[in-house]
Amino acid sequence: MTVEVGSAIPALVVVAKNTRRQDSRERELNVHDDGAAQKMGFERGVVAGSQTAALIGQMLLRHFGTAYITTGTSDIRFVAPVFEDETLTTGGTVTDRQADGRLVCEVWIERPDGSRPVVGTATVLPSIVGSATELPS
Amino acid sequence: MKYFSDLQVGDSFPPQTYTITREWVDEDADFKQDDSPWLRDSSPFGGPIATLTITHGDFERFFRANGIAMSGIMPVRTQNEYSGPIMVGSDVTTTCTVVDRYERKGRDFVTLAFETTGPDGTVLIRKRDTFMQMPAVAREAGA
Repeated sequence: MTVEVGSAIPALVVVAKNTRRQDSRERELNVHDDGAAQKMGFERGVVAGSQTAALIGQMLLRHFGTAYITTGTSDIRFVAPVFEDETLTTGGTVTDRQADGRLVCEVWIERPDGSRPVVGTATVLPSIVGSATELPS
Repeated sequence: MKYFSDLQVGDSFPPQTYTITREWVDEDADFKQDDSPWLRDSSPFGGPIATLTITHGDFERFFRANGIAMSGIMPVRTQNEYSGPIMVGSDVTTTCTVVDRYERKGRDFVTLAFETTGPDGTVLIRKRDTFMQMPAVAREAGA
């Protein structure tokens, strides 16, 4: 697989679902619950970070195939809360190729207004195994 | 009951071994809106695999098992190194250690390091997750 520095990683678009709202946590404030989240200063329940991080993982897996599972890394920061029904678009750009061939990517999740509540970097060594064609789209 | 503020660098918890069940992977895939056929049918690894992020709930597993309250805990950063697939039906073992804690702008942060190994002891995922406790919750907990 040939991936050029500067190339874009194909995006995924999803509508966020706050599926952990109903989690029961006895005597605990669950940040995914609307009432509890409001006590903490949020407008409503917050979508789990594991859901948004997973979207970036899906994007990278679809693009780099098995190589991302065997050589991938990610460093993701949750800089703003994500809420139910927000339309989220993943994004990524290959920013560098290291001496050993490892690709460095900037990755993010973007709202329609252009703000990015989730940002980070990822790397993958695509020459070892795998290609994007292994994963049916 | 322990609190987030009780966690100290160097604390480690007994390893947890658990099975990656078909039902769990299906539920996790739905939760993450992941329709990859690798999760349900087969994959280049010889069978269906779990989502890359199936271990992202490990902090809950360790907190619950060790009586640590999770009120108002939010992730702020996750760092992951993937070395191999987690196969559906396999048993994996995860370790958890507190590797950093700090305060910034009046908020309490803790970083946990996890290592997940497969049935043969091969490391599949190393990750570090940093969490913050919302200040209002920390005050309520008396922390």
